[in-house]
Amino acid sequence: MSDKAPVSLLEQPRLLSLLLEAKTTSDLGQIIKSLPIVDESGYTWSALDPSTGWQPGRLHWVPVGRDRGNAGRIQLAGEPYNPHAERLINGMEALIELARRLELLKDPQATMPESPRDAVERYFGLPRLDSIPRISDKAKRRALETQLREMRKKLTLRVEFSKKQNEFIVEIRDHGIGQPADRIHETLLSLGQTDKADKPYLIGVFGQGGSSAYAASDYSIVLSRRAPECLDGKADAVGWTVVKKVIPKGRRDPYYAYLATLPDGRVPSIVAPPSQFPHGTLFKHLAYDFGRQGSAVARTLYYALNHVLFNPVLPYDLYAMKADPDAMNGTAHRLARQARRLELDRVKHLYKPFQSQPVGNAL
Amino acid sequence: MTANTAVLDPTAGFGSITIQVVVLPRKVEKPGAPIDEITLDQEPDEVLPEDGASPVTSYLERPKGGKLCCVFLVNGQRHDGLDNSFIVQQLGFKYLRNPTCLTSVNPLKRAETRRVVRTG
Repeated sequence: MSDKAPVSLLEQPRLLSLLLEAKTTSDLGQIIKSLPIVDESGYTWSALDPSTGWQPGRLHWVPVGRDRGNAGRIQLAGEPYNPHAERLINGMEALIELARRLELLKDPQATMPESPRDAVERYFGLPRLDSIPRISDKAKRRALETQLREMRKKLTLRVEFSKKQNEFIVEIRDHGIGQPADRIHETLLSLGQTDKADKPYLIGVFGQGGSSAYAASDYSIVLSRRAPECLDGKADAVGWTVVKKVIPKGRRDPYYAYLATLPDGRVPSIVAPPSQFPHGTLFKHLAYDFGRQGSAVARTLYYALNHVLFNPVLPYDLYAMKADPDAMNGTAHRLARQARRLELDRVKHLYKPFQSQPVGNAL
Repeated sequence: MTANTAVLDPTAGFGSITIQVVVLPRKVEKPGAPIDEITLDQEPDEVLPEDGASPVTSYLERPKGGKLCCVFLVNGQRHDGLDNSFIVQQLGFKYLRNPTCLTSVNPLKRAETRRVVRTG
């Protein structure tokens, strides 16, 4: 008989497959049971000294943003659709940032794009999405539509429903720059922190938009892998964690926490081949509460996302409880396409873009 | 200063505003659909409640309500929206309240939107 101690699931490569395959809270519950986790009663995170009570080699629940009072901000949105739009924006930014970093590797002096649209035009050859249906040159329009289809594959939102568990799962996957495992706690899991403010080619500024999705989920699984060209000497691994709401016994202040492997908040990682999890980021929200049931969610999501991302800088694919995606180019694109159809049919309508005008400080 | 450092000019204002107006034709009525009644005693600034679908309804946030037909965008993302009382009361285009969708890039500048559309 071998006297070797059993290898913890934390050390096993199959953990990544289990995390990727988890679709319900029950699936994730099985994984969590098999992991060496110190539960909330065995460790309480403190900003002054997070290492007090820390048990090396085990996972601990650490507040998102390393802020014990994070519930107020995370629960602020109170609306289940908009956090997904925010996460999609983050995905678009990850794609732009990857292209920008690759550009800088080739030419360290390359000037920054002046805006997100400027970046998308420079790196992906796409103009404003609502201008594409109105391009009269057929060959040019078709080439851009092909490019749109290719770009959409790099950013997807998938909604599935488990009839057995009566739960929705929402997955948002981008194939952008991704985060190194040892920075996930400072980036994807931060609150109110941003490194985008001095980058005019990115969109977000406040660093917390998508975190409201944690409030509508029982659990969220976060996985990220840095693009190989942008590792900057860091280890190539998939960083992962799980986020949940913690309700401390005898207290009135719940908070959102994630599994960390070190007292400074760093998350665990898994070494895996790129074929199993290519670079980019995946957010999986389990038992997501849309406030309604069934196919109504799929229909509403299409309209809600297209309206919030009215004329997005990049397109994305929506798999709303079906195998084939809906092309999400924004409502402005749909309106432009409809106007083009009316124009060809010689039906009276108005499609009038006014000339761009500077806006001053005073009205 | 390196070539790839952003420079923000505090005197530069709010950038630029781009406004777009789309007016769609009335949809072909399905046979048997109820005919809209004309309100004879409608006041000049009175906005009638929306019950049926307008030509732009399917492009709006709520398929049934179709309320926010004026949207204010920053980098293509909606940051604010107004219902069609803006078209009637601020722009004075009461006959265009149902078939019109209006987009503007700056959520802070409703007055600017009003000025550009009125003079454009």
